[in-house]
Amino acid sequence: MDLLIKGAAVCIGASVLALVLKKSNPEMSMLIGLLAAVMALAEALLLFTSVRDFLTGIEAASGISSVFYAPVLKALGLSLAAEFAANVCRDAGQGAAASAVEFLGVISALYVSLPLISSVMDMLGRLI
Amino acid sequence: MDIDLIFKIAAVGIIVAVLNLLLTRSGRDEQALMTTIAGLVVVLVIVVREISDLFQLIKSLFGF
Repeated sequence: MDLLIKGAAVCIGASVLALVLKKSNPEMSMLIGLLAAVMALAEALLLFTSVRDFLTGIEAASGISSVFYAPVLKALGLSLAAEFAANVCRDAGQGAAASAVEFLGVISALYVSLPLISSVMDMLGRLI
Repeated sequence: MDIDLIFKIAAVGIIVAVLNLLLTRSGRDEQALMTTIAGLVVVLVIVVREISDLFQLIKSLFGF
């Protein structure tokens, strides 16, 4: 809860400062917003570390091969990074770059999950 | 989370805006442009370092 309140305060303060600077130099105001987003995201990811350790423990206990688990985690990271970058681009008014980086995120997630798909195909082939 | 960094960038922005105004009023437009660009580069260095830290964190966290 403390962390959330701190993050909310940082983001609101940064938004106000960005509004103040928007008229005189808009590029600086965009960078302030970007920095606030980076800070909040970094805090969230530091919290996520313990969640990931927990999930890894469950995976080790259940005996599922990491072929099934790793792509899910990787796709989560990819989507996070792609959406962050796309939103930053959209804030700066570059819609084309934003949708391109979103598409890049989709294709990267597909690429990362290729081993998963091929292992499902293998399993089906052995069943038939 | 250090809000000092955000305050630092806001301070740089305000200083650049004031300098820009002063230099424009005294008729030195090209120096005003140079001031704006220098402030932007300073802020960009700070922000790029933070973004690089964030992406390193994502890479280590999600098993790349």
